[in-house]
Amino acid sequence: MVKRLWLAGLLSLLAVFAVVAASRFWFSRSNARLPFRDHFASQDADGWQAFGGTWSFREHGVINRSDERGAKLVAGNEQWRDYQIHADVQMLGWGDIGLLARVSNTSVGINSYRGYYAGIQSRDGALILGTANDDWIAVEPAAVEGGIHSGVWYHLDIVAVGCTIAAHLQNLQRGTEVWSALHQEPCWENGRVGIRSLDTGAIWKNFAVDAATQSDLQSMLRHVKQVQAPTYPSREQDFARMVESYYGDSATVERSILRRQVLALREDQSNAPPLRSIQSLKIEPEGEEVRMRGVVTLYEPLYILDATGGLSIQPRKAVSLNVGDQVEVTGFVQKHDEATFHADQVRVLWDRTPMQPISITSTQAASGAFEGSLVEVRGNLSSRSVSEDGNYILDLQDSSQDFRVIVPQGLNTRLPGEWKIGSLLKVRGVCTNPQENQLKGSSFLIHSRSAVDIELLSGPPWNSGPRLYFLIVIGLLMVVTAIVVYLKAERWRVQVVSQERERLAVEMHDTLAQSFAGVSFHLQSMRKSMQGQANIPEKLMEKLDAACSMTAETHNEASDRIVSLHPAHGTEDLLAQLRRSTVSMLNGSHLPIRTSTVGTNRKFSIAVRHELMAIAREGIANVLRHSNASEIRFSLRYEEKIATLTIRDNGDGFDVDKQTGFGIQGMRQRAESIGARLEISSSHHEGTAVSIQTPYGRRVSIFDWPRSLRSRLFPGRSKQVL
Amino acid sequence: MWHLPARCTACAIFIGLFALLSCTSRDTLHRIAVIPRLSADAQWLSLHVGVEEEAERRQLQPYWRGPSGSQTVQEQVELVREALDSRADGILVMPGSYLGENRVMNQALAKGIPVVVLSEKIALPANPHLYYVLEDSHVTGELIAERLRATVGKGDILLLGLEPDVPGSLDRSNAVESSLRAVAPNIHVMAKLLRAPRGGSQDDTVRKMIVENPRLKAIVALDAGEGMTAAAAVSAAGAKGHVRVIVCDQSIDLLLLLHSGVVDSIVVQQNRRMGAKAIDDIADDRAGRHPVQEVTFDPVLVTAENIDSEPVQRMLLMHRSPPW
Repeated sequence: MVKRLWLAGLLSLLAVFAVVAASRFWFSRSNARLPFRDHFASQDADGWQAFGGTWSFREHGVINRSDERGAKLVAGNEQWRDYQIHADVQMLGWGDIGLLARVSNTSVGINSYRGYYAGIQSRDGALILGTANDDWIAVEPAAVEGGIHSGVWYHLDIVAVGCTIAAHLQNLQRGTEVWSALHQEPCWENGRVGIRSLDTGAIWKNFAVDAATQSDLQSMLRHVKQVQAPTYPSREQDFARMVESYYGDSATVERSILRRQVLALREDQSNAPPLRSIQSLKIEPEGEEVRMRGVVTLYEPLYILDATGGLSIQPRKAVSLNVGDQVEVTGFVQKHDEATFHADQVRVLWDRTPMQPISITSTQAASGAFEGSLVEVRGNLSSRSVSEDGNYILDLQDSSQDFRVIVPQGLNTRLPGEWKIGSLLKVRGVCTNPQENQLKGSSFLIHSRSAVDIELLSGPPWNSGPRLYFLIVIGLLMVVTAIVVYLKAERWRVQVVSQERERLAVEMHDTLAQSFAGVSFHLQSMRKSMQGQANIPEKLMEKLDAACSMTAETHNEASDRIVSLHPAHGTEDLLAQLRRSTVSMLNGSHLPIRTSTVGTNRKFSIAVRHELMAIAREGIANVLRHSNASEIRFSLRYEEKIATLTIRDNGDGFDVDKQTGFGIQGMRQRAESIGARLEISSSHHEGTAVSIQTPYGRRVSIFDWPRSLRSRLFPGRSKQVL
Repeated sequence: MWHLPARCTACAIFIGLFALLSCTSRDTLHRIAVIPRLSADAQWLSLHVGVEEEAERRQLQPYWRGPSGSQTVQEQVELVREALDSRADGILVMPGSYLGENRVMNQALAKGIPVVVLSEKIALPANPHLYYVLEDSHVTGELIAERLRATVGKGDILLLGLEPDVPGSLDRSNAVESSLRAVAPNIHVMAKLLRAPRGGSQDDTVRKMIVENPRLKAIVALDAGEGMTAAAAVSAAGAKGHVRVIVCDQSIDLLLLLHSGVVDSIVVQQNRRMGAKAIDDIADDRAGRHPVQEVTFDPVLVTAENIDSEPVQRMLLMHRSPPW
């Protein structure tokens, strides 16, 4: 037994370890395998995970339309070790964009990841390569001939083999190339792949990952002047010298740093139309040429926002913008009921000015006061669907309003699993109050920039939908389990009681009954030896006879009790046992005993049978003592729910109403204890009939536990029939 | 049924599993969350040095998480909450607003987690686990006023980048004005510009002011971001050398511009010492000692003349996390 338990324990432990290890392995890997390709031809973005950014798919490329600092998109398998990444990249602004290798621990933030990054940087006009660990340490930027420009396609490669990472950049327009490499030990040995942008929007195309070997690495290292270790001088002096050495002199450093700052100041604006706020557009005369400035809050449709409000813009010429760009819009005031401003010119003044949404209530949003503004609203998801053009349509509601959220396609081609009906969501986006026919019963629309703008605050309430059914099933299972356990426990208790009764029977047989037998034997011997003697007083003989008789009766009584206690007794026919008991009580006298049975023999519970036998014995004793009967009959009628035992004699009978003895009172009490009904009918010279209508008593069943509970809570109020 | 050895077996398995799970759940070193107002800049790289040095000495493990922008108070709140959720043993924070982070910081304090607020005081009720490591705004004002007196003598200046909601911004502005009145009465504050809420146009505004006001001799930028605006405007207006740029707080670009001469001087906080003191406070609090709850450090004016000196270079030491 102990050995088995040890073995079971050991196996359980191994099973737990196996499950934990398998889970870790399973969750640490994705299904991604090398080679990995994504030409972004389909809208399937299952393998990609976004950390910030405003991502969408267009023209076989993935686009981030956000000036966010450090937007990332990550894919692949964390177990990937030596591999090479290839992609075509194009910057849509001013900043740096590139590829991530061996990435892990990724989160939203500038350098919030571990791994390597190679990218192109506007400011330095260079290929940069370095390592991040919530921080950034790079090797010397490799200057690109002609610089890095917005709108130009570049091809970027990274090869990661061992602890050496090499990068290659080619300007696809001019054909110029540049290489860079770093070596560092220890290193990030494995991780996922990804794309990243900082301060600018960008497009990535033809993203591919292949396994890499030393020969792949060497073919790239052949072009690298020096494989460097990423360094970051801790002394300011050294850092300044390092930067100066990159650029040549401090004047170039200055120009490089301030180049971006003066971006907005290049054009002469002496003849520009008057600068107006967005709100003032409502009161400007029609046909007036105006100029407005605002920050791009949404790219498709294009919305800008200034301190007075937001506006939908329709540029007459295509313009490349990012969310967060500050733009100057010039055009003529159209009819005041026109919701969209048709702009003749849209000019980027500045980038990196991302707006923070204003948190408002749904009623404020519905009022129209926040038309075109970037807002944040909370609501419970009431329905969700995907429109024909692939956008998510989320219908939300709170206690005041119903509203609709449109989440653009892109990385969002599948509804995220956590957006369940009834969930509380926080949505960010541009608030619009369009015409009624577009609202579909909602109070207002929210155009969110991407799925990242939808934040799950809490899941559906516990009592909603399938969750409620699940809880009900779990509850039922628990109740059934409790009942099964109860039944097992009760049966075990009954078994223990039975065993105890058997033990008592054996004890009584071995001690009490045998002692009485011994006493009886000795008394009989004394009586026999004294019978022949003449000088024995008659009174002494009478007392000896009485002692012999009492001993015999008590022995018989004890034997009966032993029989009724013994488990084997339960299997004997009740009438046969009554007959045997009567014969024993007759002690050699003759009295005809007749028995009859109606119905199919059924078992009584131990308790019922015990009490029945006791009642019957009392009845038989009364017959033998008082009735002068010449016959006794036992009949037993089995019915569906009850059985009726009748003891009938043909003796003198008696007046039932006048009987107040303890015998009958005891019989009634015993009958009540098993839920039986005792009836005694008798009249002078016509005999007596004692009838007991009793339930059979039950085995422990599932219906016993409430009764059992009730009897424990309110003892004395309930009867328990077993 | 259940014999003693079997029970022992079950207990041993349970204890073993519990120990196994416990071992993997936490590091042995106490973790300190360091949450700046904006990550990855020279100011914080110097703070890094002090924090790392002292943390190593006191057997603590700092980890750094900063918001992506200086105006994203919500991100900072979430970072403090993350620190709470991950059961950080101490929090070092430079709050982005007077009130925004109060609730979450109060929650940390209520749990007995020591919180050190850097640079400026905020509206938090006194708490035995709350410590302040502050800059001395008066000294900042005196340093700027003295520099202006020595280099400009008389004329107008522009105060750039006031942010009433950001701790310390108005203190700096007031300190500069009061010190000017005392030290250089011939220098007048021509205008005070609020920090541009969305950047960009501020450059143009300042450039125009430089062009239109020949008496404008200097621009005092109250933070590093506005320092870049001032430098860009001066450069765009062709006023380098004519209009001096004095900036509060350093960034890598500003230090480079100091070398090139666009920026005249930078009031640098002693971030290395401040970081070390903050870690000391956390370590002492955890050890049951009660350090002084408020300590102030004097800033230092860094100019082209003294930037290469050893004391300044030691103060400007920068540190980036090694990859592991």
